[in-house]
Amino acid sequence: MPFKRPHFNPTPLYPVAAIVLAATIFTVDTITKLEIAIPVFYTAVILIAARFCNRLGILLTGLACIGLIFVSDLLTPDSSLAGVINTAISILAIAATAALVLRVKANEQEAYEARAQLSHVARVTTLGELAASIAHEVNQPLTATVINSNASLRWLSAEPPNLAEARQAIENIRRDTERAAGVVARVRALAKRAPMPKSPLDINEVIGEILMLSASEIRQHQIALSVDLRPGLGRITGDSVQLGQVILNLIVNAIDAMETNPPGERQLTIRSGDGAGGVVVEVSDTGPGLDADAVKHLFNAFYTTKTSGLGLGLTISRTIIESHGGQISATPREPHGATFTFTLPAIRNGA
Amino acid sequence: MTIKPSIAIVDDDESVRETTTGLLRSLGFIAKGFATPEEFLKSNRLKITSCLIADVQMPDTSGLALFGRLTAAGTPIPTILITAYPDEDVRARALSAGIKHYLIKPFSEADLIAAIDDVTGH
Repeated sequence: MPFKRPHFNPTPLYPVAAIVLAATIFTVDTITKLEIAIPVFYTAVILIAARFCNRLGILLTGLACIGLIFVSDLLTPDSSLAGVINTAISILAIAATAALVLRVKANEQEAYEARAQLSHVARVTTLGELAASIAHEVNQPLTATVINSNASLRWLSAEPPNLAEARQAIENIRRDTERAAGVVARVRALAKRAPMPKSPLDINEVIGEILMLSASEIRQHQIALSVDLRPGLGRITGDSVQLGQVILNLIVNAIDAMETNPPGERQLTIRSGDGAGGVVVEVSDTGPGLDADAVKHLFNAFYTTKTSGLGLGLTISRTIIESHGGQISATPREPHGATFTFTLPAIRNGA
Repeated sequence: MTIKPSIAIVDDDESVRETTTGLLRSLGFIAKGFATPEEFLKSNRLKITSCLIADVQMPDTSGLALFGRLTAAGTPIPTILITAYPDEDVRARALSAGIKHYLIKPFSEADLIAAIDDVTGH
């Protein structure tokens, strides 16, 4: 998943700070007889707890703070009206703070789940667009396999059997079956919902895989493809499935953008190279290009220039690239069209 | 003894092109494969080909457009279209252009041979 779960900061500083603060408030509350509601400051303890606790933890922290107020009152009984009011105000403040923090936590969780769900929907939609293309990719080797199995049977039943031709036909069946299996394996990897661990990878390999998957889609739309991948690029750390999704999305967008171009003017260019920020990948099209409004909102959720589409592809692409420590941008291409560029930090040599 | 027809296979997919060519040769046809329509149009096979098997989806010229060019040039060749990407519109256009056979990959050997026999009148 390209989205980080609302995370609990692992630093031990927050629990220590919460305990120290609670102890200080308890001490001051117990040994002083100030006319102000010192225990109100327990709300700060709850706010700190919110940084590292789950919902149950926040609830328990709130109860513990209220418990400390009562312990303090037992140690130094104060039956004055001001004392009772102070205690009541403090308990109300703690309860209100805890309730608000719990609400924020619940919203964060909902937002996370909704984004994860949308990410999956967008991925499935992209796959849907490519389904016909993938069927084509599988049908080609299947056609050859059907023909080759007939041919090999015929060579074997000839008088005398032609073993050399039969062997060649069977060898072809093996090659084509592997080709079909390769397509299925790539689709399965793309469709997988589970996050993959980030590992060192060569972005050129990811681009190559995606180009194989989208080859017939590109051919089908009569698009001239130009690929310029610099060999020996620095490796990057990443999730190849997610990065493949970004590249696929940029290719599908480029194809869609050139839909209204005459067939001779559809040029898709994919380049990789070294840049100041690490490894750079560029996907350019010769479509109608981007106006100022599009450049501004392109990466916003639900913004789309297409007649069909959710407007989530680039939003998700940006989230993926940023979660890899990189950046993605769009620029108009001269004389027409658009270029999408993303940069990913390269692993330093020896690292 | 009947002379078997000369068949041209135009398909940019190497596996399909080579295996179809091989199959037809094993059946005694004179068969030759071409990776692009241009390659076929420039070849010396153009005049002796009595049956053309062409893929619909190819980068520059589709199988249907190839048939159209041959017809427009006054040298029509009976054509069988093959496709891994069936499309009702394309099929309808092919039929109205005079192409009787539109085979969907993966097609069976029997269907292919029946179509060849039909267009070559054997």
